[in-house]
Amino acid sequence: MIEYIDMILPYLTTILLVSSIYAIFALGLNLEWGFTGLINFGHVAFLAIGAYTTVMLNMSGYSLILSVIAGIALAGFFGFLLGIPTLRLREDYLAIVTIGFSEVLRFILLNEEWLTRGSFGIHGFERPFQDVIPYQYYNIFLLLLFVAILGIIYFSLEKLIHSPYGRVLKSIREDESVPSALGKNVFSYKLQSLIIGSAIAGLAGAMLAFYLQYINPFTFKPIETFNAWIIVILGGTASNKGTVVGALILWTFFSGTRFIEEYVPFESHQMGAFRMIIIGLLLMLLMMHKPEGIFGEREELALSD
Amino acid sequence: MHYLTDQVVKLDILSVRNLKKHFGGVKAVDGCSLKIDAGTVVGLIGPNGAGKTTMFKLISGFEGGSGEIMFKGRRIDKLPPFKIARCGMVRTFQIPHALTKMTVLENLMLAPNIQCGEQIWNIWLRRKKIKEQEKLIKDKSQKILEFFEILHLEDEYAGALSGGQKKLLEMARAMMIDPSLMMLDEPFAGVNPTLARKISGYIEELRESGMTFLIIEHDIPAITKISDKIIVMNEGKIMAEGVPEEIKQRQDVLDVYLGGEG
Amino acid sequence: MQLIINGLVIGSIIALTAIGLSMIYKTLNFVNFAHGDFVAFAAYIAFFVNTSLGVHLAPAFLISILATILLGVFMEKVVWLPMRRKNATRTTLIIISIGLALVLRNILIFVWGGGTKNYNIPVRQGFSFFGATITPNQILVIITAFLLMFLLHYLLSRTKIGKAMRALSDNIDLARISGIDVDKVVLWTWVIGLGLAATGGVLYGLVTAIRPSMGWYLLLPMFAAIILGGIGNPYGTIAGGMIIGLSQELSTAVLPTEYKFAVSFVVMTAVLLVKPEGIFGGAK
Repeated sequence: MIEYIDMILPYLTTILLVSSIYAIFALGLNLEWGFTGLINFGHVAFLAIGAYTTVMLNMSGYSLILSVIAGIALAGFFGFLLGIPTLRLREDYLAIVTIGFSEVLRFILLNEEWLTRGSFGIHGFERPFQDVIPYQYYNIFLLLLFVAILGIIYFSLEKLIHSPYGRVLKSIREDESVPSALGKNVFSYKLQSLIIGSAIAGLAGAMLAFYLQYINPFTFKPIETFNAWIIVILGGTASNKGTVVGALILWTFFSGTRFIEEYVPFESHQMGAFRMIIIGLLLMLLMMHKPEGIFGEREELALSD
Repeated sequence: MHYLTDQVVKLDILSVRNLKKHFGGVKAVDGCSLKIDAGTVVGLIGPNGAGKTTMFKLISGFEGGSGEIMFKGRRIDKLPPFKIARCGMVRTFQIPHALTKMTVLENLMLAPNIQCGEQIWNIWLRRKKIKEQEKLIKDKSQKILEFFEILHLEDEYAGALSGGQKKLLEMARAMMIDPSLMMLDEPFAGVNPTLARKISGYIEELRESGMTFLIIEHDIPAITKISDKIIVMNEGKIMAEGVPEEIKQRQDVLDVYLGGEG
Repeated sequence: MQLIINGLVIGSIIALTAIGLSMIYKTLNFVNFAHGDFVAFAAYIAFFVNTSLGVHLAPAFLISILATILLGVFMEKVVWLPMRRKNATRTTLIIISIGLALVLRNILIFVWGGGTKNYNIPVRQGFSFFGATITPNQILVIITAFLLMFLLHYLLSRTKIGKAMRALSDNIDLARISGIDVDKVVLWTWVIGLGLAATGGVLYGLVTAIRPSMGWYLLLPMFAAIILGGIGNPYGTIAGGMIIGLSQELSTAVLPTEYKFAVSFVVMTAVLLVKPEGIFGGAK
């Protein structure tokens, strides 16, 4: 019995750790898409900026907390930069520019070896309180820390969207001509939403680096963006609770498929492709038949006209 | 200098000079000039495709064109829609733009513009002030809903409202920003006669309180009844302008209507 | 000089595929993120028919183009038409299209792997041309692309279906009122748009090796070409495609080749910032 617990506990910790990172990552997207209606197809870029900035600054001698803050700020700043040319235009343009940006960023991470060590990746950076916490308990500690951060982000976002500010965001999502006819600076709100969403992704990036202890450009493939999309849509667009649950479901499902992998006659590249096919199909089917998601706030989204 | 501008405000609240907008080869609005006196109701009529809605979009900043637009003595062409709205001009849409996934009350509470809680940091820094303001705004919303006799719907999602109720909601929402000029795009279209009479009544009542209206309408009897002045547009140009009785007598206006609509 | 020739070749392909994307964008009013993957799909079908079934390249191309169009028509019937009936919002359609893009691309990876493939064609000697080499295949690509563009111009300006398509892309509601069978015209838009994309895809395979991500990496240049040329302006798109193709290739003189992709990104963002309606002015 005890042996089983010894086996299951680390496994469970891993799922919860990854889920909490992805929940935060997806909460950023939910603010952008769920509450403001912005289509960001390059969310992973901000995850990467957060992770790389944190890690590289820390490696060059800055304190960990300062590095994390810089990572968050830089991710937010790039959200700002991408928002400027696109957010005055139709929603398609942000989608195009973000997707392009995430690809270009990955090329830069791969090719500018003097800065990022290219495909070798970076490891050997500091983790929070690593000298204080004994190694065998470290993941448990990390889990507690991450859940606490998730809690802070979650309740802050809840507070945000239930404020007059959130009301404006929701009105933009529904029909931006209404708030602009009433005197709201729609562009500025969209920009703020993108900055905050990107900054949250930056934070998730730093957390991901702490968990993995090693990052390289392949950690930040486009699929991560679509994982976040699935999480948001699965849990119900415009529901923060749903997003957290969605993250948990997706990672439980992914770790489940790892067991199945041994029994399916797929080669490794096929398994990856197969997963992407599932993600793509899920995205299509959910948007076609259940846009309110499985746990979506029905009354908020089911009333489509 | 000061009293001069004051006088301008009293005389015409809105003046448009040589407004133009072309879509490709089509001249949607072709050199229009008009003046609207404060505290009056002005009807803007004309056959389909005459350029009325484009004119609305140009005045409210949703579309860019050439020409000069003065509102309350301030030049507003080139300003984005939200800044024009903040000057005290609000428009409704031909097809009501109710925010369907928000409640009726939320629709109204969204509107006021000096809300402390619309600044992100205030959500954490000035919680008390926000709470007080929310209460004030809620009271005001309920009062306006009561005026339009839809207070019983305050907690309904706007998507659940009928077409006529959505029109009322849109007017009520516009009222929330205390506009000096309200521009209504077909307030009577698709509304049953009882409700149409009610809407006329609301407009008259609000005009008494000093509000100015510019109204696009196809229902000629209804609009001539409540208007102080009628402007007729055809093919992007203003073809007639005057008091309703005068306009009703004009043969060329009748011709345009029969030709355009028939 | 070599770079200019390469640029013209890739520019023709970008222009050809981008016209289809632009037509669908204008008519259906959303960006089809799966467009690039239809390009890749066409190249792979041509590869499969050519190498695995041993069919000669020319019929293989025709089969592939037909297959791509069929897939597009199938998607119209099971996805886009029902979604239009439901009055789905533009954002919904965009997200569905990116889902479709993921599915298509990964089916290619699943079946043929992620590596590069080549058609079964003899390597032919190129001609010398002002100190650069141009292969017969490259010439073929440029000529075909331009022929098709002229054909499209004729189709849009002279035929009934072409006029209906233009009417539709100007104003779908007005077109419906004036008695145009909207669903039929939309279907034709898919057929022609994807036909051009498929042709671009198979031609791409003539001048370079194909890989599953090729459509993905064409998507951004295509967008850049459309935005540069002004949305809905076919001549602008052609010019935009050429400019993007040339600047991508010329950039390799100063930048590492990996950054080709970044060139279209930078050009596109700059245009959006300065003149979002495109430098050649799009139809509003």
